[in-house]
Amino acid sequence: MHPREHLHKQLERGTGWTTVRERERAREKMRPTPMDYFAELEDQGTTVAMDVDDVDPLEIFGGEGVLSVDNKLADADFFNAFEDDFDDADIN
Amino acid sequence: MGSIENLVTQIQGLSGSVDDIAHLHNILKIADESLHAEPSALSSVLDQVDPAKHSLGYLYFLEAFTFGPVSKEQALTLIPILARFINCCDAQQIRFAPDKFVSVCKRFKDHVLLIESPLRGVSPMRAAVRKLQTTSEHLTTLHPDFLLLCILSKSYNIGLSVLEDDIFDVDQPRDLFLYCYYGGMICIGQKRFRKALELLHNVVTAPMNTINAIAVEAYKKYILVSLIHYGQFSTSLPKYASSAAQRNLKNFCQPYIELATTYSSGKIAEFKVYVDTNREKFDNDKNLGLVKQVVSSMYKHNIQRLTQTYLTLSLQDIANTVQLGSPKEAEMHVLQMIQDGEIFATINQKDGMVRFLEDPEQYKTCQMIERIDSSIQRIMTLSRKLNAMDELMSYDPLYLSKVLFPQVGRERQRFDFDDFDTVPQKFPI
Repeated sequence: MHPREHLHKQLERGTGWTTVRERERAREKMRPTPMDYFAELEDQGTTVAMDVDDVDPLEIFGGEGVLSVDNKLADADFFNAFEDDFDDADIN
Repeated sequence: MGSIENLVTQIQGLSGSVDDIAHLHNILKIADESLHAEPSALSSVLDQVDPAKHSLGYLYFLEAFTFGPVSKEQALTLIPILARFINCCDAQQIRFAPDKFVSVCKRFKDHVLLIESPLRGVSPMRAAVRKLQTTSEHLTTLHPDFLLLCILSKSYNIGLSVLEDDIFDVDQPRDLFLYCYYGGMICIGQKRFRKALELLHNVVTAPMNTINAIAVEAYKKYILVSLIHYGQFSTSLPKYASSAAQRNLKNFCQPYIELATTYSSGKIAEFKVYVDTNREKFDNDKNLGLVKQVVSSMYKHNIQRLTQTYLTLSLQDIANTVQLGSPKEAEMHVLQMIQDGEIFATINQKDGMVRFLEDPEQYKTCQMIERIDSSIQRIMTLSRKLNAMDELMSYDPLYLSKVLFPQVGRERQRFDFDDFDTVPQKFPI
């Protein structure tokens, strides 16, 4: 049986199924992967989005290209017509 | 008109128990269209209905009556009627028709802005927020409007009272963006920079599919406040920031990024030249006042740096090192910093020497222990809440479908064969 089919069956039965996160945690405890040893070398400044919202890196090189900028701003009509009230020189 | 009179009778008779109000709501929903057809007939009817006792009925009448554009003169007439209703209406009743209540409140906000009197809207809008909220953790669509009026009327203190609530339930994403942006501005106005950074950070890192104008403006202020409060700024966004923000935010805020880079050199003269060169850009963004605070903060952070090296220093030396005009100016800066608790020092005015001291806080007073205990309690509550949210999410079908099954067309598999346990969990290895 394909692993995914097995998972479907487990979901239907509601037995023995745990969250992906729980299994990842258990796996990390039981069997550290070689990737763990490289964790410290990871650049702290790397801008990588969280997994769930992650954009496939291949997408960057397709479509608009690496250096394209999305110039369309969402909610551009939001109210921001305030006076500049943060000049301390105005406070006596 | 006869049907309206009947409706008034029903409203007066069915505004008692919860069951009656639920029944009344069904009647009002059916009659809503006819109310909008004759808005002018409703002005006399409003006097026959008590906004406090018959809030739901009054709401339907008021919403229909105030529908459509108004002139300044009409706004002046409507504002006291709307304010009275918002202040005295029954929260339980208006929650049967939250959309109508929101419409009425937003119109009220628009009217006070039309007559350029935002202060008149602050107190009713605060009441409206509290009535619409199901709990103090609930962010409503009225929160940003309330904060907007606070900023325009410079009632920063009143806005702060709402910002102290921890928010966990959000109706619309746009509400969260605006709430955090306006909230950040209110905290800046009160010089609560740490809280301002927290709120602005939420805007910048909130999930967004395309780059959001509110996030762009928030990022500009975030950079400036970060320099004022910490004396430094990192261009790296946290990993949980959206890819839209990671890719595009800096491009929209380039002058501010360069301002931060110039600031990091510590050279005040060079920094001031940069500010003067780009004054117009900051002024157009209405951020020039904050930029001036950044300039002042440079002196402050440079003086703070001195405390890490010297035990005593003359005012003349401080003035020279920090590039102030005179020892007197240095003395004013040091005095202000001592007053604000930013450094611990004494000034000997006889010989013009400043003696830097250690932080006298021993962290063993009753007040400090209470503060630490309060923080621990808050963190424990937050931890319980996060665990509950995590558990809820793990059962969410949308989340499961996205995580478990790869999307069509994506080449990368989320999981390989090893990710699928063939042995049920009740038989752990």
